[in-house]
Amino acid sequence: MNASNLHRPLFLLLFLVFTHAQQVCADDVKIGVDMQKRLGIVTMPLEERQVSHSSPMFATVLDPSPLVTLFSDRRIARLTLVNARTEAARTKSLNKNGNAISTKDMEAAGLTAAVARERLLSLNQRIMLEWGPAVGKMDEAEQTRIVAALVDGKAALLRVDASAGHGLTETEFVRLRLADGETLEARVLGPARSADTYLQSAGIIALVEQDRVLPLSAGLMLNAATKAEQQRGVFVPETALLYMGGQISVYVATGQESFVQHILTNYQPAADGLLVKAGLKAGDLVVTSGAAILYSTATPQEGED
Amino acid sequence: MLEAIVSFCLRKAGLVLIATVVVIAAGFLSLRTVPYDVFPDFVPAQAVVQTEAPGLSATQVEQIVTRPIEQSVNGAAGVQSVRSESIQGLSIVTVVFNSDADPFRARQVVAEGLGEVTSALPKGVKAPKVSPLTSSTMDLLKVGFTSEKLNPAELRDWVQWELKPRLLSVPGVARATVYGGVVRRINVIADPEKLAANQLGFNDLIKAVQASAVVSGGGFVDTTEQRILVEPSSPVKRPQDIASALIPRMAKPVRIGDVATVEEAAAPDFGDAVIMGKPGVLISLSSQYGSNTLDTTYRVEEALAEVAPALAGLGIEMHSGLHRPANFVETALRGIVEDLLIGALLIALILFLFLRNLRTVLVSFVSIPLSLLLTVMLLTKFGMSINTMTLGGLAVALGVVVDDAVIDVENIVRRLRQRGPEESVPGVILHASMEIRGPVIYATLIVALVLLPVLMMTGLQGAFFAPLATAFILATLISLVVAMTVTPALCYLFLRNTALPNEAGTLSRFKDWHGKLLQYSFRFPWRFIVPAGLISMLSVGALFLFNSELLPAFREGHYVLQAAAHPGTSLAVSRQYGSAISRDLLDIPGVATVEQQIGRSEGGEDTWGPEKSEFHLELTPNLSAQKQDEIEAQIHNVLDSYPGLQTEVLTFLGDRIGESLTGETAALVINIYGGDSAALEKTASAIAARISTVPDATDVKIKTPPKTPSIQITVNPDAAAFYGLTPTDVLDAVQSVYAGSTAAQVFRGDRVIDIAVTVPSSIQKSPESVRDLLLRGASGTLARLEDVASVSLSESSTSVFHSGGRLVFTVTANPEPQNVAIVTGAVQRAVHELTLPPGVYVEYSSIADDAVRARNELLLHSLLAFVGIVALLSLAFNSNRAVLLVISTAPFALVGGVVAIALSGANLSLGALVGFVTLFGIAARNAILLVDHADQLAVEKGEWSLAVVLVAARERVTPILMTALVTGLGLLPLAIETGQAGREIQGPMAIVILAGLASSTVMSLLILPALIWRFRQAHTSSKP
Repeated sequence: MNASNLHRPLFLLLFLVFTHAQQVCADDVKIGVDMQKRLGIVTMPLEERQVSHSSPMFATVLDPSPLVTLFSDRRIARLTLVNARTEAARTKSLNKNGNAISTKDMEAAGLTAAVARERLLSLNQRIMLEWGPAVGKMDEAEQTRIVAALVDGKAALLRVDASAGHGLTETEFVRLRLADGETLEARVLGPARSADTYLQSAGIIALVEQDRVLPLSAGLMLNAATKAEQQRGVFVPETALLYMGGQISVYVATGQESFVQHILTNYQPAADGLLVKAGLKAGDLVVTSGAAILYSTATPQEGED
Repeated sequence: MLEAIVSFCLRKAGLVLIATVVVIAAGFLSLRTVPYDVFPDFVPAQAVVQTEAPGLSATQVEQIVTRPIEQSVNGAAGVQSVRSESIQGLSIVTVVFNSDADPFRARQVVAEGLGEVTSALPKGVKAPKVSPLTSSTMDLLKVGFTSEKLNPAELRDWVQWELKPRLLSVPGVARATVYGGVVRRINVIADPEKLAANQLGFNDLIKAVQASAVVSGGGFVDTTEQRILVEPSSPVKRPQDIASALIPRMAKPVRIGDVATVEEAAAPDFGDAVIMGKPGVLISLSSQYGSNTLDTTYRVEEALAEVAPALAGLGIEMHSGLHRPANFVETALRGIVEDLLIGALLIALILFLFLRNLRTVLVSFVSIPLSLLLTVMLLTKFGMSINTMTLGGLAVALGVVVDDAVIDVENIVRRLRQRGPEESVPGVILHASMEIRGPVIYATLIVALVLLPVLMMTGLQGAFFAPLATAFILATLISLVVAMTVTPALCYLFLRNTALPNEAGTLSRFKDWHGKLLQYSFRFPWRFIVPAGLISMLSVGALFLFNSELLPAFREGHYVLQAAAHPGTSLAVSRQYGSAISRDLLDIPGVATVEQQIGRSEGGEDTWGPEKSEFHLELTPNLSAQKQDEIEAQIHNVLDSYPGLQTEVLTFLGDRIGESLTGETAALVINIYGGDSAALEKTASAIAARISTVPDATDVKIKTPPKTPSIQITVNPDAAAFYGLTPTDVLDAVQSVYAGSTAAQVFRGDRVIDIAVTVPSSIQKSPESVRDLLLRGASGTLARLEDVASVSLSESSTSVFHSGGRLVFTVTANPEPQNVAIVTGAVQRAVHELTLPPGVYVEYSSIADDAVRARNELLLHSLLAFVGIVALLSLAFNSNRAVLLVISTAPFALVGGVVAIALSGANLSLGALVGFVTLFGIAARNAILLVDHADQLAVEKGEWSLAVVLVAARERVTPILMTALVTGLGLLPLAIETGQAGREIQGPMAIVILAGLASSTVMSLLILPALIWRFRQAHTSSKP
């Protein structure tokens, strides 16, 4: 290395250190260690955490009978259609071959098949309109399995709503909270076809399945929450937060006796605090008791005695 | 007429003696019931209206509570000014009446105005309350309670429900304010999600709670023979009772407990207390207007003594010495009584040395307590208390009272010694008394005129100092009457058959020497007059060079420390500061107790937020002035070591005076009116910045405190309507959550416990959760707060001030007193250059205005008094020369006092000023009597000659010396104890009088005779 070229980076380094030091010194609040103990000023290192923020929702257990009946009616309609189609084809063949089936009987068989087809179509439409396309388009095997589970009580259909529909569209699963504290996970089947006028919520239909009989009776209302995406960041406890000047800030220790105020800009609410996604890092010593004292020190009022 | 009075008293001497004994006995007995206080009632008649408005911000309080109340009282009869402060949750309107207004009538006027406005205040705002009428000193007693056994709620319960009613029942107690502990409340903590799941809203829950705890009467059943009462009682006493109550609805029944947790918890508080460094409960008692501080204190202490035995069993420790203003009264009274007793002994000794007869001593002596006791009785009859000022007036009058006693007795004794066999004793006494009666009356009236300007002072100064003048003038006049009636009668009774000893040989020799000195001075009068004149002029000039202080530092051994952190600081942080500061203060030797009261308490006189505290620090008794000063310096050091606090250290009395002064105490005050809050704030900042550049405009401040953090919620009416919500639904729900709506109350015996509907603390404590608050409209629609309102972090006003019903922002500056007028002019010009927003205008006031007004008033009255004095002297002597002679003695008489002030480095204080008044009184009296005596002798001898003046002077030596010695020795103990508690006014006064008596006596014995010889008669030459 050519030593003569060191002066530039060295100068730059000195400049950066100096300006940083200036910045730190200019904004630092200094309180001695002894006084910190007397005033109960405590710091704590920040830790990284993953937090999922879920929107509050409400789930109502639906009576599966109408759906099961519809499924059953549709199966019957399908079978009826098959039968009618078979009969129409047979009568058409017999009529064509000059057998003893009259044209009238042939046409009647054809119409019966048409009626059966319309009935099946109508039932499909009803299922789609009343339960949503996700339910309506289920294949036979899926239907059979779900119906069996519903009948055995090992599954339950729920309608999930949120105020103004917040958070309903972004989730695939919903966590249900029972009265005894137990939680169940429900799979979202799709949007509901009618709104909850109280919540002004479009609603979604979800299905919960377990290997046991579920304590979910029709009409039961449960609290629910989405299983939102996990966010990472450093967790700042609420005791560290200071609300001043329309902003949220914390005090971070820059030395044993010096602290600097740090305004939070990128955060989201978490239980008992905030998840800060930028601006602070794990290991930063943040003041968790006494932030108001530091702020009061940093903004002296006139007329000090 | 005067002669007839004296004659009557001589004829009925026995009756006069009985009457004297009775009056003295009655006087001593009355001392037990006389109202004692620290200060006279100097606070102008005012009424403070406090209105609790839970949950409202300062701006909301100003708009919907303060303004209507101001309008209801502004303009009422006798109102001088109305000012107000609106803070979070509280409106304080102070109505100040004219100085001559009756405080009870003033309160009635306010109450009448409030009666109309109360019904118009919004729901949730409590009824306005007029604070109790308290004395100027206000504080009666502060008692603290701590406990290791009871929890804060139990401790607070005991103080609030057991002790407070007992203490309020003591006559003389106006108010009992409780700080600290925890106020019990039953919280119905709603689960917003369960409410929403059950399609219920906060309103439903509140109504259900109200319905569950209703208290109603049952009427009665009338039979033919009886009327039987129907007495239903509420089953709801405990939280579980409330939880089991139903929420009325058409769908399936839901109990309160299904959607909420019901439990006993702490109500949110606005204040707290730290007792001797530990959390505790403080009860602060205020005394009623006109009550006897000492008497009321003793009764309260009796009540505390009644409950004291139970405290140990309860595990409560009582700290009763936290603040006791009666200590100062007791110390002052004890000190003055001790000093008076010692002084009385010394007086008796001097009287005996001069008069050499115990009976004459007794006659002289009796008139002193008689005059003072009669004065006290009359002052009490006039409705005045015995306080620092009236005691000061009595102490000042002592010189005149003693003088009256000495002059009359000495003259009577001298005439009795000279009595011829043909003269009767009553005749001689009558003649001796009348001989000096005229001059004494004129002299007394002149001395009374000197203090008349003080009596006529108005405003705060008048309320403070007029009692001193009243006590002095009253004592002086009573002493005159006693000298005219009692003294001759007692002289007749005790001396008619007594062989009076001759004058002491020492005294005779002194008079001979004095006579020779006078002859020399008559030969060379200018050798005495010129130096005396020069010294007098220098002394008078020196008076203007001394620093002056209106009131001395009172050594009551109690300090009030005020500490304020940034607005928005919580109670917990203030408590943390308080515990640490208390421990440090208690470590200072000489500090006995420390208590801290944080924030405010309902109905209390202090209306602060949780960021502000007041510490009361009591010192151990009997500390010297120097030790107290050392402790005060250490207190400053402790407070300065704590960062983030704005602090102030005052004595208790200094704090009371400061609180009672109307408006600002800054030297220059700029009030900015008109426009809205934002415009005024901006203008205030601009003005403050501009006047900071004006030379000598120091300590520029904006009075309005910094803003406090807030969460602004602005309802969007359209969005709310979309969800079937009204703005009221939204705002009521917000208030319920964050202020805790008091839905109902539960009565347990004599205790009332609020039931409040609120939300879990996880929601309450998190500003972020505000947005997610679920609301339910009347139609059942649910919405989040964020869907119907904008929610944002912001700042709002901590306090909103009004003056005369107008929003006001205030900028102050504190130039040096000598620069106030110049700086005011420069500031006005600077502000004039600024462009003010439309509608905004500025008013200036300065303490110089008040000082100038008071000074001009005093000067005018003093001028009138001087004219009165000259008129009286003219009436007395009918000679301009005599008038000038008497007046010319005043300056030299003051020389000694001026020297004493210069040597002691003291300020020209109130005590020193009244000392000068006494000196003038004594000098004037001596001068009048000497001039008159010389005139009388000249008439008797038929000529004006040197011999006449010499004889007149010789015959006045004894009373002049006696007055000087008796007054001086009588005040000696006060002078020695100067600086001690209770002698703050009397001590400097005694020093000035002691030193001044020396020059006054020289003037009376040496300079004045030379002046009389040189100038009294027109044909007198310098040659004897």
